[in-house]
Amino acid sequence: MNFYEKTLIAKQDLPEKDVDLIRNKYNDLINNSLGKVVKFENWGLMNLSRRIKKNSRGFFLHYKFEGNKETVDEINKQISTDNSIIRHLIVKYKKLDLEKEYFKKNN
Amino acid sequence: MKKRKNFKSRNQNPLNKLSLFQKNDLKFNKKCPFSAKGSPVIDYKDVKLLKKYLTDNNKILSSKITSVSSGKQKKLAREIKKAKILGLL
Repeated sequence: MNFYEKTLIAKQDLPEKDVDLIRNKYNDLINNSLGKVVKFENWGLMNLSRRIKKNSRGFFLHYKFEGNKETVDEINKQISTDNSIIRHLIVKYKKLDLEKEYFKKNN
Repeated sequence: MKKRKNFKSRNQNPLNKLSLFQKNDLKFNKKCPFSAKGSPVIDYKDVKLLKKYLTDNNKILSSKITSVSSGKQKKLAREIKKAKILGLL
């Protein structure tokens, strides 16, 4: 098993319901394809530094999970057909840092 | 004496960090900010830290200016590029 971090950026004009749907969709996708979600972080609506596919803001969803190569392949397949996601990034780690949260909101 | 004072004040201007050929004795003896014990971990989510190593036009600063060691400079460049993919920088 390997450790991964995955970040998705969803379109800015989606209603909150759809963001929750996307969140649950990828949560289930990881859990059903030999993986396991360790932690989920919702970074919320943030400004992008430049326009990406005509969007200036985006919803950031961040997962920390463990899984295999097959899990990553499955995610990439889904994302390539998903229209509501602008960008994504998957990074492999030897160890996950679960304590630090860089985008925590102070409420 | 007066000339020296002017020279010093010009060095403290943060806009001057780009020029390599200032005569600052401390500059090239500085140690790498990431190699000491307890130094911060380079991570693409740590936007505040990464911004220190970029110019105003979002270019990566050379390690000659920032005195980051060669190994850490490679890692830094990789993390900055990851952050740029996500639109954080």
